[in-house]
Amino acid sequence: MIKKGFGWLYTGIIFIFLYAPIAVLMLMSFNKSQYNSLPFQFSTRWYKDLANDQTLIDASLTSIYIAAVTAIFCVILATMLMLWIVQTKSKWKKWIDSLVILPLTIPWLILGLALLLLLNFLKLDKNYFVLLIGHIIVSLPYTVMVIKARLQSLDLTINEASASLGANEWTTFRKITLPLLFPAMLAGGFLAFVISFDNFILSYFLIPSGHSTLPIEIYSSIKFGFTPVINAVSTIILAGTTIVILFIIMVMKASLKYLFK
Amino acid sequence: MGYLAIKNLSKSFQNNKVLDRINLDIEKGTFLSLLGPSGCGKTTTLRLIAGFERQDEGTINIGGNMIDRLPPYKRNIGLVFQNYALFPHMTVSQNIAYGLEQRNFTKGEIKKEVSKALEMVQLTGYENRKPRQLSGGQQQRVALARALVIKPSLLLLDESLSALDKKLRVDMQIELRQIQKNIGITTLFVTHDQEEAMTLSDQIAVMKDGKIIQIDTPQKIYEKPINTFVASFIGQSNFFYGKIKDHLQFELQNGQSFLLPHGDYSLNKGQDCIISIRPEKIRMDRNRPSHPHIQGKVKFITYVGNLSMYLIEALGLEIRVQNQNHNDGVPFEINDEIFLSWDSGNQSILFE
Repeated sequence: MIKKGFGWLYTGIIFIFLYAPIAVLMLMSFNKSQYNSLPFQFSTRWYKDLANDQTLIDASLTSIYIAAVTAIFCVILATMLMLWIVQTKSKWKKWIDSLVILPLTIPWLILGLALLLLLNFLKLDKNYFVLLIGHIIVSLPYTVMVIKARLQSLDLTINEASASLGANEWTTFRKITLPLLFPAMLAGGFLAFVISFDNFILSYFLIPSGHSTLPIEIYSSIKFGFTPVINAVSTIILAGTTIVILFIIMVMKASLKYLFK
Repeated sequence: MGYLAIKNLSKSFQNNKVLDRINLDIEKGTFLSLLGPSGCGKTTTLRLIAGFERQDEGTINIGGNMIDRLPPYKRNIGLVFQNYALFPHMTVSQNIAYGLEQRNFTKGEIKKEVSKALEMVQLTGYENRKPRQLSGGQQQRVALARALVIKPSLLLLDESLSALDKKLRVDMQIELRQIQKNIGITTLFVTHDQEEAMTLSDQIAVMKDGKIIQIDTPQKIYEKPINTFVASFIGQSNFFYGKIKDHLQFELQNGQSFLLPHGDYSLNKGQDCIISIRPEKIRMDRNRPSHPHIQGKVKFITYVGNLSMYLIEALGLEIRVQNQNHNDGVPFEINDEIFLSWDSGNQSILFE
């Protein structure tokens, strides 16, 4: 009994450790005080302020836009690459397989610097194209890992079965591979989205002047005096992310049932 | 030329010759097993016929049509994979309908054909199940129905029964053979299980190192193997290496000699050869027979219920004998002195 109680206590402490700061942030977004001070007085003032803060809204939209484009590219690239990897007999297979994952170990700072040097070398201004390349490089490994894991758990002879029944490559992809891979593509895409959305360093280094992303805005607002509007925008993002995650879990669950029931 | 005609089929993977000028010629409706140890090229042969690999040289002809340049999806060959390879996201009827959809059947036709196919494999009522909800034997039947519903010109079975447990496997063997006979479809069965090949096939092609060693009926393969590989791969055999001397005298390589059973050996006189005899074809007697025989001593007995396996020490060799048990148990004991003999019709004279 005592042992059991202790177990719960232990779990509780870990959860408080993990989630209390986030809970405080969300609470403070509804606190009237300018300086995040107590006593707590409920107010939606910061949400109203946020609605009028065009800079912050623009930065958020830019972040979402970059993250979405990154996610789409990552899913397409990772799917094509992994479909090639699982069936090829090329001697380059091993190398490519490792090289895609490698950026996980490269510090973002160094990658950002490298891309900046590249721009400098090509005598180009900072632009969204290079920014997206940077985001894709750092997000792709996550998408690749999710899709690869799924592909490896699939029995590839079903593609041959499909062919023997008269379906050409395109039909086989559409009717067999794609439906079975879809949950992993969704999950991989979401991971890429989150990695990109969160990324400060690459965006800070590579974004064209006059533009900014949400992480950059948050960073500079901390430097120049912090208002709870940041709490409000963070809360909205957290809520949005949670909804997307729940949605994906539901899709995955449905499709898993669909597969294994 | 037969219905399925394969000529000089060769295939190498990275300088490793997996298939070396295979020739096959079988009549329509035949059930042929490709039998051999792993790495003998039987699976490669099947994959070449299905079109998943491209041969280095040679031709494949089915019913008068050259198919070896066609992609797999244009060959119209039914395939049952070792692990069945059912589509996990589709129901039983969707799995079976898949091939018909590719052939542009109407919805009504598909429904009719699917229910006919399910009836054939005795799975009516399982239309809406997912593969995961089926037992191994049921998955096997769905795979068979899916392969046959497209009315293929040839059925290929890739070790299709080996994933089932023994009792179910025997039931499926019988069912498979009945369905195959009813439809009259030419079938190629790849297996390493000699017992399975024996019970199912009209013909067996024994393969080794990318070559077909012998192709014949199961009975001929068993009774008249052409070399020691075939004789030992299918069933068991005793081999006596030596030379036929005068009359019935056979001199073993270890210098000992014995008398062969009565028969005509004039053709092979003086030749180095191998006498092959199956354990169950050897007679065991307590009393010295009047015809040619070998004297030996029982070294070891394995009781197998209806019969017993004996290890006999004779002529400096170990000879295996299989003998029926009597009503009152095992008729011989260890260290019994016994006499072995057999009929010349049951032995094979081999040269490799």
